[in-house]
Amino acid sequence: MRTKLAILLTAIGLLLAAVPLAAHHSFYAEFDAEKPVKVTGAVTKLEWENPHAWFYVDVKDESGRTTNWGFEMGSPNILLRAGWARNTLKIGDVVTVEASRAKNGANIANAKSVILNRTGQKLFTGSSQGTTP
Amino acid sequence: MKSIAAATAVLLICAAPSFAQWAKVPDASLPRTRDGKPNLSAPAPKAQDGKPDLSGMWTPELDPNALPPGATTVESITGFVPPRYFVDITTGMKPEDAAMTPWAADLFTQRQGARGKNDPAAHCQPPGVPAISAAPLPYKIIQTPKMVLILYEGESVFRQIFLDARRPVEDPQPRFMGYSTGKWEGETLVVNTVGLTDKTWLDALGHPHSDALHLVERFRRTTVGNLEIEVTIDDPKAYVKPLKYTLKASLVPDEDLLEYFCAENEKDVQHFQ
Repeated sequence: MRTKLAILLTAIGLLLAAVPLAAHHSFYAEFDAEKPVKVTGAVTKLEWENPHAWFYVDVKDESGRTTNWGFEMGSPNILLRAGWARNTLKIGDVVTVEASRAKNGANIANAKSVILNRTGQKLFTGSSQGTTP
Repeated sequence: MKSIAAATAVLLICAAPSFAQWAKVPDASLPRTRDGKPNLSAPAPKAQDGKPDLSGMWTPELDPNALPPGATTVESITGFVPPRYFVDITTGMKPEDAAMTPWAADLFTQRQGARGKNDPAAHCQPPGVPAISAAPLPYKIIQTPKMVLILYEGESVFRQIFLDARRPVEDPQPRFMGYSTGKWEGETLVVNTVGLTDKTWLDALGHPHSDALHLVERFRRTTVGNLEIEVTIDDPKAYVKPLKYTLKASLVPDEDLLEYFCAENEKDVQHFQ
C-alpha cells in the first residue's frame, strides 16, 4: 500500500512540474521554458537598460561558424541590488549561459543562469522563467 | 609636482562610484543599534504633527511560497523571487472569497489564453494601484501633514494621497493612479481611491477590475522597518465579495530610488507569439 501511495504521489508531483504555470505575463508569449539552450562564447555587447538587461554572445559551432546570440535578464535595477555592477560582464568575457529559447526560433533566449568562465562564478540573472514577468 | 598630480589621479579613480548612483548616505533620522545598523524593530516613528510617519523607502515582501527550498536569505536565492501578490492577488484565499462575476471570469480566461501578451505592463504602461505596491521595485513614501506622496520606482510614477477630504470632479478622467484621499484612524491611514482606469490588471495573472473599483488601503507602520497595507478590492462588477489581502513591505534604509523607464529599451513585444 505504502509503495503504491508513494508512486502515486511521485506521479502527481511530476505531472505538476511538467505543466507550465498558467500564462504569467509576457514570458510565455515570447519564450519557451521547454526549449532549453546552453551555449558558451564571448560577450560582444551589453545593454544595461530597462526594462531588461541584455547581453550578446558569439557562439562558434563545430564547423567554426559563429552565431551571435542575445540573452535577456531582469531589470538592471534588480540586478544592481543583487550584486551586479554595469561592468560585471565585459566585452570579451567568456560565459556559459543556460536559457529558454524564443518561441519564434530567433537566436534569443531568456537567461536562467550565467557562469563567468574566467572565475567560475555563477551570476544571478533576475529572470522569472515564466513564474512571473 | 608630478607626484601630486599622480596622487590626485589615484584619488579620483578611487572616488568614482562603480555604479554612478549616489553614494550611500546614512539616514540621520533612523534609530541605530550599538554597531551602527538601523534598528528596524524599534517603534514606528511619529511625524511632527504627532501622526505615525510612513516616510521611507519600502520594498515589498517576497512570496514565501516562491522561495527555493532551503533558502533563508536573499543571497541564497539564485533565481528571481517575486513579491507576494505580484503574480496572484488571490493567493491563500478560499475560492468562495475570491469568486469572480461571469464578466470578470470571462475576461480573466481570455487574458490567460493570450499568454499574458496583452498585459498593459508588458507594453510599458504603468501597473496602476494596487498592483504597483506588489511590483518587484521599491517605492518611497514622503509624508506631509496635508498630503502623502508616493514615488514608485516602477515606471517612475508619482501618486498623491490628499488628506483634506477633497472629492474628484464629477465624471473624472480615469487614471492609472486614480484619485486618492486619506484619513487617519488612530495609527492607521485609511486611503480611498476611485477613478481608476480599467486598463490595468490587478496582478500578473490578469485578475480584472472595472472602472467602478473602489479601492481601500489601510496603511500601518508597525515598527521602524515594517509597513503593512491592508487592501480591499470593492468591485461588485468583477468580484462577488470584496477581496482582502495584506501587502507587507520592509524598509530599505540609507538607499534611494533608481529610475525605471520601460520605453528605454523595450524589445520583447516584437517577439510576442
